[in-house]
Amino acid sequence: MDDKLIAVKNLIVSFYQENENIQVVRGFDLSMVSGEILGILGESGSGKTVSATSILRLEDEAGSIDSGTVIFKGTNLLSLSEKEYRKIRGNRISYVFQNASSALNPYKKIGLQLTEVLKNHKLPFSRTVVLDVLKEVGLEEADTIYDMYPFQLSGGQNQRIMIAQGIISKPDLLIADEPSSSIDASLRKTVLDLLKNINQKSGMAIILITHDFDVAKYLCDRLIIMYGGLVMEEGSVSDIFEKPLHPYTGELIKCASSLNRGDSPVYTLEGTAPTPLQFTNECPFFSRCKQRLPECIVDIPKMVEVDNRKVRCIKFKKR
Amino acid sequence: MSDIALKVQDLSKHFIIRNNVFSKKKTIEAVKKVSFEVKSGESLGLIGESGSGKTTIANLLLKLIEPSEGRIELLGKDITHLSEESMRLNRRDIQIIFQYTHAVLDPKMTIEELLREPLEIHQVVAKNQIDDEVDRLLEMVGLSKSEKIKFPSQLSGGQNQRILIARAIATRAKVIVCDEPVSALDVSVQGQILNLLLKLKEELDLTYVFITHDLNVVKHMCNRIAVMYQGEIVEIGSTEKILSNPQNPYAKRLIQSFLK
Repeated sequence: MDDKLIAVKNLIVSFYQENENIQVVRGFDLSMVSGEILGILGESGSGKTVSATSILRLEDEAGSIDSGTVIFKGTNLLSLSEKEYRKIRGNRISYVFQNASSALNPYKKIGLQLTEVLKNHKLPFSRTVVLDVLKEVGLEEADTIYDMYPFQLSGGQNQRIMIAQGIISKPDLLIADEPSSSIDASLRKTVLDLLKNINQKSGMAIILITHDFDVAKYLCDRLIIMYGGLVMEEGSVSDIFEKPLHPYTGELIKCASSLNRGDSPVYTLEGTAPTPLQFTNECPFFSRCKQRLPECIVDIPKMVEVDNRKVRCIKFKKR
Repeated sequence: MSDIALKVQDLSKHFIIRNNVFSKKKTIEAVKKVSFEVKSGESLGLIGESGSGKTTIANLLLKLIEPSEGRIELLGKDITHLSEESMRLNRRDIQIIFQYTHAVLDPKMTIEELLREPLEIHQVVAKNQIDDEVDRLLEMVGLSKSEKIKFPSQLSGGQNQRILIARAIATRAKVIVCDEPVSALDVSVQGQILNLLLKLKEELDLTYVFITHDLNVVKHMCNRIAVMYQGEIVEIGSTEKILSNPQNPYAKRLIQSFLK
C-alpha cells in the first residue's frame, strides 16, 4: 500500500472570461502523507486558492479543470461523478474558508449548522457530539453558543465555528484558507495553536494556504511556494528558510525579515506579481528577478530536483 | 504655530443599541475618557484587539461621528463642536487612509477623476493647474501618468493604496490617520507602501496616527504607541519602551501574542 494520502499531478485550471480561456493555475503538483502540515505560500493572484479549491472541485461555472489528476487514498477524485464526490467533500476532505462572515449561514443557529454536516454525511449526530467539538475548538460556553446566530459572535469565535465545522466529520485532510488573516493578531496565535493541537491529537493532515511567512513558519512542516500560477519551489520549512533555492523565495524572505527587523527604509522587491491576464511563456518572475538570464524568456522553466527539494529555475538545470 | 498637531482630552463615545424593538436600550461605551497628544511630525500608533475602540477614535478625529464628551484640538483649533459644514473645510488638514481600497474608491471613476475630486472640493489649486497637480501627485506616490485613464479594478491592491495616499496628501493635509494601511497587502508590497509613507512624511512634514494590529507597522512607523483595551488607553509611551518592557498586564499579553 502506498502511504500517500493525496497526490495532485500536473493540475491546470482555467477561467472563461471575455470569450477567452485564461489559465490561472498552470502547473500544480503536491503529495502528502497522513499527519503532515503543508503550507501553500504565495501572493495574491498566484493561484494558491484556486489550486486548493480544485482539489475539492469547487470551481464555479466559469472555471474548469483542464487537466491533471488528484489521487486521494487511491481514487482519482476528478473522475468521480458529482454525487460520488459529495460523499468525500466535507466528510473526508473539508475546507475552512477565509471569511467566516460570508461562509456561515446567517439565518441558522450554530448548533444546526454543525449538525447539518453530520446529517448530510449520514454520521451519528446528537447535541453532545456538537458540544464536544465546540469545546475542542476552545469555545467553553458551548451550550450557549449552540443556540446563537453567527452575528451574535465575534470574528474570532466565528473562525473557531468554521474550524469546528471542518473537523466535526473527523476528516483525513483539512484545507484551511488563510484561517488567521481576518482575525486579530492577538488571536492569530490561538487559532494556529488550535490547528496544531488537532493535528497532533488526531493525525489529521492540514493544507494551510497563506501569504504570511510568519504563519507558515509557525505551523508547517513543508512548504510549496507559488508565483504566477506555478509552483516555484517545494521543500521543508527549515530548508526553505535557511537556504532558499529560487530567487523569488530568497527575495520574499529578505522582504519579510526586513519588515520584522524594523529596517528603515524597508527592503522591498520592486514591481508587482503578474496577474493571469499577463501570463506569458517565460519565467513569470523574469521582470523582477535580479539573477535573470536571457534564456529565462525562452520557455517556462521545468521543475528540477535538487537534494530532495524541487525548484523551478533555469539556474539549476545546468548541473 | 503650535507644535501640537492633535490634542485629545477626555474623549468619549457612547453608542445606544437595541437588539430588537422590544428589548431595552443598552449603552456601549466604545471610547472612554481617552486623552493623548501628537506633536507635529510625530507618529503615534494605536494598537489593541478588535472592539477596543481604535477605529472609533479614528472616526472621531475626522469627526465622521460626533463625540459624546470631551474635546479634540486640531492644529491648535477646537474642532469638537464644529458644524458639518465648517468641519468640511477643516478636513483639508486631517485626512484618513482606509484599509480596504475597494470600499473607498468609486469603481466607476477613473484614476484621474479620483484625484481631481479632492483638488476641486477643497480648491487646492487654480482650475487651470489641476491637470499638472494630478500628474505631480501621481509622481509623488510612484505611479506613472499612463495609469490616469484606468479604473481602480485595473490596478493592483498596492497601486490602489497609492491612489488613496495621493488623495490624502492632495489637500496638503498636515495630519493623516492611517487605519490598517498595509494589512490587506502582500508581503512584497507592504514594504513599498511603508517606504512611501516614510518618504512622504519627510518631504511633507506629516503627522501620522496609525491604527493597526500589525507589529511591523508599529516598528517601522511609530515613535510612540498607545495600547487600547475596552475603550481606554491602558498604556502610552515610546515604541521601544512599550515593545521591550510593557507595564500594563493587558499590554504585556498583547505584545506577547505577536508571532515571532
